[in-house]
Amino acid sequence: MGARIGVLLTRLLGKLMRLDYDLDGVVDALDGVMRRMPFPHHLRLARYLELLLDGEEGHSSEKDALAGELFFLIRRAGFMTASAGSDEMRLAAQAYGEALGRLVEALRQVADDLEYLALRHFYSALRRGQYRSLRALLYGSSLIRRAVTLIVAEDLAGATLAEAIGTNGTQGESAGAYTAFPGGNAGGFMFGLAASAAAGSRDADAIPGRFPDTADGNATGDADRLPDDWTEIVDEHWLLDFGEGFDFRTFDDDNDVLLPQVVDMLYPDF
Amino acid sequence: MAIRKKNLDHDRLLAAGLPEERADGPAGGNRAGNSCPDPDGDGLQNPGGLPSMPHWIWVCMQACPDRELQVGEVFVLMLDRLAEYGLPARKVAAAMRRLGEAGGIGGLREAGELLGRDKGDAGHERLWKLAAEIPGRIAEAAPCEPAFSRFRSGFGDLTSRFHRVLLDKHPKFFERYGWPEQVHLGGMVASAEWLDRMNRWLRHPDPALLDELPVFRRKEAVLLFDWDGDAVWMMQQYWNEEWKSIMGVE
Repeated sequence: MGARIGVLLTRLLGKLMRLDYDLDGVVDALDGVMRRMPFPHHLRLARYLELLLDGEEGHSSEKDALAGELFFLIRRAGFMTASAGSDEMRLAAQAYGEALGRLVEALRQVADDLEYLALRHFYSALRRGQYRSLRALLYGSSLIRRAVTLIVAEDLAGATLAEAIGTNGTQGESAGAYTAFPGGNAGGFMFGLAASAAAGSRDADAIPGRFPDTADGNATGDADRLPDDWTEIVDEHWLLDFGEGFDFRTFDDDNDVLLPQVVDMLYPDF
Repeated sequence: MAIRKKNLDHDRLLAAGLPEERADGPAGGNRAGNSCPDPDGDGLQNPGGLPSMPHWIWVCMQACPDRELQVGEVFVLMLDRLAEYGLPARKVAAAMRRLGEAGGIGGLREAGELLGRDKGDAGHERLWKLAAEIPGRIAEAAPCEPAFSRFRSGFGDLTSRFHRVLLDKHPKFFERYGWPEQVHLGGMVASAEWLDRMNRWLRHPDPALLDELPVFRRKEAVLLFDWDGDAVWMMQQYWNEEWKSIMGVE
């Protein structure tokens, strides 16, 4: 799921940039994370940032690959910073943690803003038939919140693994833990658990009777399973299609009519 | 701008006759005559003792084919979902049946009849066979007045009702830590767009213009129709059970 969210997030950020949405806070925060990320992971993030900022529309396999491993990169960095041995490394780890916190905050602000725009202009946009822009704002804010949750979770997962290996394992094992890609046989308690959840247990019939059999009595396959998360199946156009001629500056029009319940929510003291 | 959490006036919504959270689960299940298991015999679909499976999820995942759906199939799913949501979609189905009768178009009459009642497995199977042809049959029946006008205005009323529900409910999706999430509102907005475009097509029902209507894959239909977060909730329960099983917890 992380790889898919990384790719979608990258395309969404690219789209927002092309629509002249102010993403300086996110770009600065990403730059800060990149500068403080442990060697050699910062090189991957630097390249990612470079490709993100080029602003080109369309898909690039390199950008997709980097976007796909974005959260795994954060997990690896979390692992390395949590394994810091010297005082100097611990200071660097602290600076990295603060930079990651700023990135989380910057992304949250974008999600809040998209959400605010969707609520503030819902009535008027619906009346004008701006379904696509509303849909993109709603899916966009939800996606960014998913990404924020994932950043925190991956950083924590890296730290937890470092702690588990640090108390139970050897230096050699901790190095081996990151030779494999997530979902593979990476070793370590967290990875083992995640891998077993991702592989065998994902069978739709893991819980007897959980998903009903088809009418002819055959067990259902993956095609008959509900998706785990909306980001797995969402068509990226639902996220990126803001509609013909969409402009954030005109969309954010303070003259739009508001419903009374929206006024209550946005301006409780009015 | 921070958005504060606020309780909505649910009584007002209910007084307006709008659909709200369903305390006793959706209509359907075995009462609808389909094959979804009902282990505790309460008439709702809750295999494995987990929360009831809404009928619309059963239809999307079990009854409808696993591929990109055609316009007529989305039309059928949409009417089924709107009926389950408590909106007068069955009136539209009845108008479609009468349109079929007026035009002497058996497929349209039968599809309208099936859409207007609990179908069961056999009914669903038959409906999916008829579904792809429905827009073409509607275009064929367009000259049959006044039946066509009644059908069109019924569909227009349904769209208006859905818009009203959408406008009334949308603040709920923005409550901080609220449920459902904004993404479910996104599904409602996408559904509203589809209904709007179908309405426009009914004003000029030319089969050549059908390509302009968006179509979806089956799993995307689940995303589109998950207006209350039912599918997400079911998957959370599923993974809770999975993790319990992995950790060896009863």
